[in-house]
Amino acid sequence: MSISATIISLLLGTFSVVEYKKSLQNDVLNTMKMLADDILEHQFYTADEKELKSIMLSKDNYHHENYIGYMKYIGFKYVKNTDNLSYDLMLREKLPNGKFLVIYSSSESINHQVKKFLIHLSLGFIIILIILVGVFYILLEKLLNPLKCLVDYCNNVDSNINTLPLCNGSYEIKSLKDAIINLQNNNQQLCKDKQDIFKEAAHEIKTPIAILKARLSLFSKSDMKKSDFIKESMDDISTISNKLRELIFLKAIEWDIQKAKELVQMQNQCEMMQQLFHPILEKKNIKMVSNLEDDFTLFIHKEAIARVMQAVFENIFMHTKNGTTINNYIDAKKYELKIVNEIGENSDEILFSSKIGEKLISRLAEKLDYEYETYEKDGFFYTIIEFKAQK
Amino acid sequence: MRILMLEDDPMLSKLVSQYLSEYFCIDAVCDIKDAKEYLCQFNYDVVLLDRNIYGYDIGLNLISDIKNKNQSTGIIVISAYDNISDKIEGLNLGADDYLDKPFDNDELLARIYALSRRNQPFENIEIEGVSFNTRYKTISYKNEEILLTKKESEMFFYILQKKSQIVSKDELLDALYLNPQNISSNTIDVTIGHIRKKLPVPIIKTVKTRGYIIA
Repeated sequence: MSISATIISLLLGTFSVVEYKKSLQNDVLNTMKMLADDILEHQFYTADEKELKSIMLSKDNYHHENYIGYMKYIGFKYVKNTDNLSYDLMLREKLPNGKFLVIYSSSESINHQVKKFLIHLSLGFIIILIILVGVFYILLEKLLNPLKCLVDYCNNVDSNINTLPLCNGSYEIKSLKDAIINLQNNNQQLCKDKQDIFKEAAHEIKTPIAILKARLSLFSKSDMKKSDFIKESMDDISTISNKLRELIFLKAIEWDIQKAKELVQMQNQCEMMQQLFHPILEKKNIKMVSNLEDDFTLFIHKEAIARVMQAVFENIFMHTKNGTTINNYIDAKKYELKIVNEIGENSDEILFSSKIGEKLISRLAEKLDYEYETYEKDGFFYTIIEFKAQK
Repeated sequence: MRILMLEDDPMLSKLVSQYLSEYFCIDAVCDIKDAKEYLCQFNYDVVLLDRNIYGYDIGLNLISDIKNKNQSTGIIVISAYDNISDKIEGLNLGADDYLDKPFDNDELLARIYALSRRNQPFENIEIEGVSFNTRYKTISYKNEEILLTKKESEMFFYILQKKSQIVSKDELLDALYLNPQNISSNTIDVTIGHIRKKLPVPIIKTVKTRGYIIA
């Protein structure tokens, strides 16, 4: 890039010099033209060649500084034939007497001025270069090097952060550096979480797979019916997929817990569940009723608790008897939600079921600060969720 | 041979017990407390240990109890924890083998047999002209095969396996009978008597009040 800049600068400089020289030459020629016109007009051509110059010099018009400079180098000549003349700059005018007036000049003055111009141009170029280098150096130190440092931070994901350079720079650069580090840490954590989820999934499903293997081994050696074996194996496979589902659910909750807590109203949660499961409630002809006069507000991980509530209500809807009512009792003093439903047969409505079991909901109790209890009594199923920590 | 299996998953426990019961007397328990009770009650040749009991990695805690009771009891850890470090931990604590889940039942059976053969480096043993093949459980004397009943063979080769060690009646009951508490110790005496009659030379010696020995 610097070579092309230099070449362009040289070309521009050359062009400028050439153009300047041309303009100077044009000025001289114009002066010569003026002189020639003047001579012809006032018939000064009658004078001698040497006298002619003195006459022109004496005229006020040519006392202007520029002309005086040119006049020094201008000469006059009368010739019959201009073919053999070769002056640097020359103007010829035909005189009435058939001769030619030749006004000529050497390029000495022009060359001198061009030299001066070249020197000025070079000096200017050097000064601009110095200024540019200075600006570039400042940019390098204050912007480009810190940016390069930040790029290194982005590229060196695996390196220990303490081995990377400090990235000195403005406050904004430092903030950007911190933001990049945070982003990398979060990304690394996400990658680790992703690896962990697979590792955990592999661990969780090993026992169910061992059961499947053991069953297959026994089947080959026993009189077990093929249909029984298939049925039991399908149950094993269902167990495996449930475990995976629960694992994904747990990970989603863990992710939700990373976000900030929010204010959540329990009545809203119940209404949300009613809306969410409206199709299944309609199909099973189940009503859901809440005691609207009472309500409490939780300061909790909103999405996480929504998932748990969804899982709780799903389980309830699955086993609630068709055509009955589910009652939600909200106790604002105890920060408790009690759900009572009549027990029916297990529904086949797996479409809306996340199949998150009670065990898992109990496991999450500690993470989300609630207590979870269920029991059956006189044909009714009671689900109690108490948010003691919120009191 | 009597085997204790500690496995908290009831289905896996049931299936593996069902498989192994074809070959051994097997007691399946699902928690540490029950395992300790059974260890106190019976003598085991091999213990199958699951590490993770109801979400807690505590299975290995039993190893010291097992070894304190009987150093020669073989321990196979069966676990979903399959990292190298997990295996090293289990083996360093005293386990004799470590099997990853999911495992093959036949492989488990082979490993149990392998463990039981530790004390029997030789497949063919000859004592006073009588040849014993511990692998195929055969006895021959002067090129004639001596036939024992299933129980007699199990008892004899159990004592032979512990050659030069005194084997108590209780140990024999535990090893050979699923519910040894229901079996009289006379049964052992009677079976030993039958074996002695069939063998051409007196190989099984009685150690008074202690048990039997094949020197």
